[in-house]
Amino acid sequence: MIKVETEVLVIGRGMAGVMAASTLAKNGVDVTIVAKSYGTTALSSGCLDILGYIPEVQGVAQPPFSGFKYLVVSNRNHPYLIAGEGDPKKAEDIIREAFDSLPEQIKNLHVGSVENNSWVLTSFGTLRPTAFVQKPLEPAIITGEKESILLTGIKGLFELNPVFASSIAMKDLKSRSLGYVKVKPAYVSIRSLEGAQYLAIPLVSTVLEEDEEFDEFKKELVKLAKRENPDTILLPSIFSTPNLVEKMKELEDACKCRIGEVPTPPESASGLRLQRALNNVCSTLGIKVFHATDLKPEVENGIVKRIVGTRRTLLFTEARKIVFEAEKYVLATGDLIGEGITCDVDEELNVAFRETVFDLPLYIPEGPIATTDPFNPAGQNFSKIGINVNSEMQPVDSAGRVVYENLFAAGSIIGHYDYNAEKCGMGVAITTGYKAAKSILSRR
Amino acid sequence: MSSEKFDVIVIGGGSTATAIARDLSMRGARVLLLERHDIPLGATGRCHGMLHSGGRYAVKDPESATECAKENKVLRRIARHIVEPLGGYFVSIPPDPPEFADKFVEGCKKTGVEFHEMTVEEALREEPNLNPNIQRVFWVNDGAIDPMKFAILMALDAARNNAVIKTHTEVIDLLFDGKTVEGVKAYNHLTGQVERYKAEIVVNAAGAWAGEIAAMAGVYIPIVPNKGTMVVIQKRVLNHLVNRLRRPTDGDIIVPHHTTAIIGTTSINVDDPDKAYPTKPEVVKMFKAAVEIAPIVKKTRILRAYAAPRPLIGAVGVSGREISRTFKVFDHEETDNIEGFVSIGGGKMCTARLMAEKLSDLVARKLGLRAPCRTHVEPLPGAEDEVDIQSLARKYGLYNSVAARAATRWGTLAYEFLDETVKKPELKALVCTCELVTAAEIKYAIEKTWAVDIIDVRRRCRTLMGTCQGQNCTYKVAALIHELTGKPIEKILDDIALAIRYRWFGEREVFYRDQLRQAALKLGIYNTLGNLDRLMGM
Repeated sequence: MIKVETEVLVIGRGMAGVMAASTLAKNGVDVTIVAKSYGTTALSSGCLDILGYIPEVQGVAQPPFSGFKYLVVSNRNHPYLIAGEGDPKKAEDIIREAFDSLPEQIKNLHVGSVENNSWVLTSFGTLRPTAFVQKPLEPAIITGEKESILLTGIKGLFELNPVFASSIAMKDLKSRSLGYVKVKPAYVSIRSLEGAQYLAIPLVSTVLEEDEEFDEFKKELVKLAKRENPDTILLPSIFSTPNLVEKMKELEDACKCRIGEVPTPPESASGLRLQRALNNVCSTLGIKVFHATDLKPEVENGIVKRIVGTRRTLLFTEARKIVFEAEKYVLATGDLIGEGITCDVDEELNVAFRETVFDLPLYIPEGPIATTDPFNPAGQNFSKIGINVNSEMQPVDSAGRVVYENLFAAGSIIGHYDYNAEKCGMGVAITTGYKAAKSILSRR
Repeated sequence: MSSEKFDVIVIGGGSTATAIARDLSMRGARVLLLERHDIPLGATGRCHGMLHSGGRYAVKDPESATECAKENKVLRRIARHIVEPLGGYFVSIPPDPPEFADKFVEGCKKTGVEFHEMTVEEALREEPNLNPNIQRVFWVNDGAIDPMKFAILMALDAARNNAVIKTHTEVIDLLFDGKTVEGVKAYNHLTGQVERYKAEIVVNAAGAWAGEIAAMAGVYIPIVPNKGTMVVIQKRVLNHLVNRLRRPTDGDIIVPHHTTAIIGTTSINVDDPDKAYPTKPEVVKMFKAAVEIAPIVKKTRILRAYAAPRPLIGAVGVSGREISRTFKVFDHEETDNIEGFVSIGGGKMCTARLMAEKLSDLVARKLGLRAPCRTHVEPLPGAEDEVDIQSLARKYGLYNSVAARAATRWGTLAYEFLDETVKKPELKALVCTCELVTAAEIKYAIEKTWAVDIIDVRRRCRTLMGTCQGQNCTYKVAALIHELTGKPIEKILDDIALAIRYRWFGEREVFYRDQLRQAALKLGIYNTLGNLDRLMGM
């Protein structure tokens, strides 16, 4: 058995967990993270969005905070408003503060502003609103300036089909009266991947790390740039390491145009970069990270005493018990995808949702868990399932009573919002992670 | 307006209609096949994919049993590449009536269904996932067959014999000359045009919709659309098809099929064949029944549920289970004094070739064609030769697994589409990693087999049908269609919306555990990353 003593234990190592942990560590708190695995960050596109849409309202929230006046009416339990004690102005302030407090490694990775939604060209050719994009994706922001974009796919990598995406982009741009922004398709090939069957982005990235391969790739791209003379070349998100991101500048110099990435379905380089940045935050701030599964709490008198889990150091080695004892705990285990919440069935296939670590009471919207339309702009009920928290980010029951005095929560484990419909996932993670840390700090 | 004159117009695109088009075109008739959507869409497109030994009908429906037993052997020959010759077990699990086993033996003997009894130990050794409480086990010659590919290959062969295949062309009326049907009026969904076609004989082989076509001629045929719901699970679970030793009822068969297993099926008469949807109670019933057969199903991920309307021939008010699965040819000249119009109803995908033969005999007599039926001896496209997986893989530099999947779906036709990868190696890349589908295969489906949208490609290549239910491949297939055919992007977007919605519809009944997580991730990709919820709504 291993025993770990720490002042605060954060469960989960995604954006919400790391935001809480880093804020605490920067304030001198001894923090430890325990997580099942690496989390779902690598599945994201790494964009930090705050608020794109309000389900009930047509059109984008521009600037993001302009959506709050609708949110106050339509969803008072939205985690943003809860964090702001119900006051949209306070909510704005806490979001600004939270983004200001982002760890340097995350800040340095991104460009953008909490006061503005940019339109980013995606690998689908669609435009999506977001507040921050990673720097390699900055050229994919459609600023409204006249420009010619060469949307460039890699042969065999179907995550970005440039012909398809540029057709959608031209249609989308025209509908926004931006038809003067020209998007043209092109292809390049990566020599040693010609004829490859499993062409995933991590593989493309690994191959490009080889100098010889990269030089070939550069030559192809230069040829393309000479022929087409574009302002910008956009590629799928393939530059997953800091070394490759560095080399994008080399490509820009050689091609004499801007080189960027578009947000690409998982696993994309931008998701991997964000995951790497989160890891770096932990190592820089001296936050210990443990991997353990089957976490079970031990509670006494409404206080979480310890968390017991199972740990495997290597595959096939015997599982060992690991015990974490902390004064305070932050639950940031994610939603269905991250398995902070699970959905099981009985023999009649009746579904039962459960918060996996503490079995906390869940908010489950009334009605069917999914609508008949996956593209319903109002979102899906199952996305809104999650725990209830108070403005201190403490899990509460349906009557609003705090469940455990020393337990706090952050991220998509919290219910009452649908990040797919609202485009607000990272923003909620950052804000609630920050708020949970602040609540803990104020109790020291 | 077209004025081309055909010998025969076949209405429908299921297994029966395509088999008729193949049969008659092989006999030398000039055939036009008109399908309102895509080739295998009705009962064929959503059936169990069972190559019946006849065992299921041996007790109650001897006529069907004999037909199945005979056709089983024919299909193993002419369609061997799309048949999985697994063999089937009939197992008795308490409280199945013990006397049913004796009736089963008697029925099989009478109907010519091949069978033998096995010891329980032997069966459990072969099938460790079976319920250990089984009492008796009989082996039969069941198999699995890809029903969609079956119809597509029939159509492909018809086209090779000069038949004209028109999909997405819906017959909206019949054209008359007095009491003689002389052609059809059809709406082309792709062009938006109304077209007219003339022929000596119009064959109504529209399956569950045959009643509606017959009504256009003012005649009645007793087609009872009968819904069968099926549940797809993620793993094959069993090595054989497993049936229960009792009267056919809901959820008593498990069929291993490609990468999945299919649990079936219900039998409920419905009014409108276009509204045969799966319901939650049906799914629950079948899930429980399958757990009885193989307890491992309880832990296996369910991917989706689907339902299809069988075109049974019966009388109103008779329960679907009581109606025979045999078929009937209607010569409307004899029964209704309408010339140039024949209908066919009932039957099963398994017996489609036989049905086509009987109907084609009648039509050939009317047309004065002397050539005999050859559909039982000529192999379907792709079945000409056995495909050696290793050498296929070596020839094109593919993983064995990828070559094996291509050969299972297309037989020797795989060589045709893989040949293109020699010049264009990027076509070797996988578009679907669940079912291992290369871009070359999708290109072939689009260019050679009348696939015009994402769902059409699905029926041919099994894209969208794997574990992720189209999460990773829907947009990739759409992109390929756009790139290869230049289909307008507005229509491609509609296709994506339709394909994702269509998958969602079948998944929704089983949204829990990993399938719900998958749905959440799917929305993450299409809505959060792609912002498609706002684009589709715009």
